[in-house]
Amino acid sequence: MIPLLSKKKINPYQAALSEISPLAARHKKKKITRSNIELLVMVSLGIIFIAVFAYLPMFGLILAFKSGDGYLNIMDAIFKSQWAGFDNFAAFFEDPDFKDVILNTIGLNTLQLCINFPLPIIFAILLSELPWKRIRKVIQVITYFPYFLSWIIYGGIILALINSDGIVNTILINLGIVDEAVNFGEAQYFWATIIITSLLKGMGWGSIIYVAAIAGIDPQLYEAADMDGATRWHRIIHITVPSIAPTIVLFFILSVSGILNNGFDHIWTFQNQINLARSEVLDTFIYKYGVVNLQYSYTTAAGFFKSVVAIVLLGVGNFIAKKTTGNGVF
Amino acid sequence: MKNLVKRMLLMLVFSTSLISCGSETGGNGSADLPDFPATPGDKDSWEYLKDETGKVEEWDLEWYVNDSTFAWNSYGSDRVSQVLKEKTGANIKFTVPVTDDGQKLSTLISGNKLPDIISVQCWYSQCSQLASQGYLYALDDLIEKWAPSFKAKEQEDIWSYFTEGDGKCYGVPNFAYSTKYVNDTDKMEPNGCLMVREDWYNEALAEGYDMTSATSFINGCKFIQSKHTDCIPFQLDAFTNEGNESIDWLSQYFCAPFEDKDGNYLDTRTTERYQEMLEFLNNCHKQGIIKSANYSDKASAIRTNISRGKCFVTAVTPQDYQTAYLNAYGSNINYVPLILRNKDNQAPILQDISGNGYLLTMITKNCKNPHKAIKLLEYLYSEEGQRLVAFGVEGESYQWDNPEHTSLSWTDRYVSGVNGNTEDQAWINTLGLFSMTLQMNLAYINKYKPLNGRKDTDIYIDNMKRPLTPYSYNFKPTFLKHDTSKPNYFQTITNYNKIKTKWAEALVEIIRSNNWKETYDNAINYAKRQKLDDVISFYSESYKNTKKLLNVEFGYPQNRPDYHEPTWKGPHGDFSYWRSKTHE
Repeated sequence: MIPLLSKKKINPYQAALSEISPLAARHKKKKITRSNIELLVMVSLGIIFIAVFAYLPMFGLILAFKSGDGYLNIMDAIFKSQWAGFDNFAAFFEDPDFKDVILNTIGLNTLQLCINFPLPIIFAILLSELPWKRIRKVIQVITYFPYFLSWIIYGGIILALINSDGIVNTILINLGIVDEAVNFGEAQYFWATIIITSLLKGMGWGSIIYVAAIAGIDPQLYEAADMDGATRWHRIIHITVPSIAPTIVLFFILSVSGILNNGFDHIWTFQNQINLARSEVLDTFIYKYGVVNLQYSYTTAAGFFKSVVAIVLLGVGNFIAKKTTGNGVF
Repeated sequence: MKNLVKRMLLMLVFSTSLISCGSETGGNGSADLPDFPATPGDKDSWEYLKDETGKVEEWDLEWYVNDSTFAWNSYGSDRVSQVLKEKTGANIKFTVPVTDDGQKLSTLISGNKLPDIISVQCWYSQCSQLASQGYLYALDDLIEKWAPSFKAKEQEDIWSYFTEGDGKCYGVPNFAYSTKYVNDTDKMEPNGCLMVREDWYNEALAEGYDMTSATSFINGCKFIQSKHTDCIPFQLDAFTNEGNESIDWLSQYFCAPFEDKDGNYLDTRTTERYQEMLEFLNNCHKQGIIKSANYSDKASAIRTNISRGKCFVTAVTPQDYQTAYLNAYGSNINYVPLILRNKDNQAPILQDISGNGYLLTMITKNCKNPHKAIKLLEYLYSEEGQRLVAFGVEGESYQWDNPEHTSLSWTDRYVSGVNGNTEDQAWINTLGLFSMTLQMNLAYINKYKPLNGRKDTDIYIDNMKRPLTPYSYNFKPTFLKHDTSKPNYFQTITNYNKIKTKWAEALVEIIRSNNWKETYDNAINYAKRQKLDDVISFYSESYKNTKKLLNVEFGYPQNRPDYHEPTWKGPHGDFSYWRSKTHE
């Protein structure tokens, strides 16, 4: 993994690395050799992929400034419709649902950031502290497995477990915690359902990167700490966490920039008519009005707004990370 | 670096222009037909698919059906599909969406990836939009060139209803009840209704709750709930982003009109009767007879509830839950209709099962063989095709009773299978009857359906709703015919869709609200902000046009001069409408 570089704090190791890095010599003109061509061909595939699937579709953003609602074919909507200026943005901001949709999107994601972001880190640390390798592997396999199921299947299983006749309600009733079955489809349970199911499904997989980072820590550091009388807690706080801090910061910045992104299929699986007050997020809103009701322009404006906010958040997250830890992604 | 950026920008512009050049935009609905030879009209057009040796060449056809429940699993191996292939050569590949939220259809349309034939709910605005934006062949053009014999088979009233502003028809519906087979005056069973579990109802009746008024209904449900604690006193249909069908049927029980006394269009939701119905549902919720899970349950969960006989009263569309009712019947749980009246004790005004159709089948301009596709549609549309898909092959599974061909009966082998002969039962399963429903004409099929060899379950399911026939009326004027050429059509439909989506959310809130009136007023105010008045004004014009097309002065039954309230006063309707083993 390439270390995250800060302009202000360059350590001697990084300086030495830059001496031998091809990046350091990028200004020196070199002849294109055969091996360069091979590398260029290989990298061009990635560039083409990004150009076709990430940059080219950006042309569609033009729809946000046109009155393309009512057209069936998306190309007709782009090329045949009239210019509408910022009307679509104004309509979105004035939509009575705007406030709730944004509140749900940011609220749910902020909660996920506070709960679902640190838990995989804690889980990875706890896992690495387990002395029994075999048990550690069994736990890893068990916790990774749900990640490979789609939300439709996984969500379907969860819904079956928590419905009025499901095992969860049966247990709650038999333990005398509730008198009658709880409807977990109600709005007040939605955020909790999303966070818990998200953790159950993704915590194991989310911890992989941290497990790998912990595995890369020099064992001599732990041995030296042991000799100095450090407890397990001290080792975690003073060795493990600082060592994986750059990885944590990187993922934190990426998570902050995705604060307006909810996993669509996750939300969609658990959404129903009575939890809309808490479950309608930007992604589902755009899907309903854009894809199903064919309001291309209106929802492109909503999507555009989301992208702009995401870029701003990425910048803010990066700035804060740099200020506080000295690490950033750019 | 600057050069690189410039080059990339140039590439982007170039690629976009390439895409725009290559994009297949609709065009118009003009008769730009492919250059296949015309077909004479001296015999049925599908006969011309045969070559000199009498063989029909195979050809491939992709058919998208916008209904996740459509399945013809035995296609290719069953008798019906084999005969269909022998007759038309069509090798059909069906595709259906995973869910019924319209996403798959929208994606196909927006990317112009429509297959050869599509079947879409006929009330969807996309049907007219596809026609007006040039994605479809006009069936009249195809018929004129490649299936002249189709013309004589057209059900004129239905055809005329689906004719667009340009004077051409772009789709044929299934399940339409044409006056060619059913008279407008014929009484038919309702579309949706209240059904009550008979044994429990008798228990409630013994306590003095006949459940025909709102108060008695709620008290009856509460009594049954107290006696059978595990039961679901009142089961409504699934709440979806389209609304809730139970609420439509209940509003008809409460006589919520869609037309004022002068014959003008009314938004049912704003009428006093509709509000009375909402108040009733709100009371049901407050009294706990609508379970909390009902608001989030999907149709599959409701199906299970009915199958297990847990529901005391259901307000669903019974034909959509037919298997569930049959399962309950198998456990000796019998559901019978129930008549609920409004506070003025008026008889319900229920929508009968007739209509202008369900799925509209259209041939898209992406169709590779439109000259063959129209012949296939003609075959399926013909009476011969109807008999094939519903009754199988003549002489094998059914036969004519007389040379005049006025009635049909099942063959001995078929009856033997129905009566439990294992070998014949297995043979029946290979027939594939009632699988190809996409051009099905129920009016014709019901008229000729053989009645020999029927079992108790067939008689039960066929007659479930019949006692309510006196309370059912033709609601055809509500199937509005919009003028899609009007400049405000798209905007009106967009507004309508927004209002509909929001109203679907509001319905749940109103029913569960502590102050239903306030929640209702808020929902109406929201709709008004979304230009409800413009929508109603547009719909009023459409309503007038539809009535003109149907040649009726009044659409709502109570406004019709010949309306008389049924004299029957029983709680379950008039059982003299029950059809047993023979035709009436």
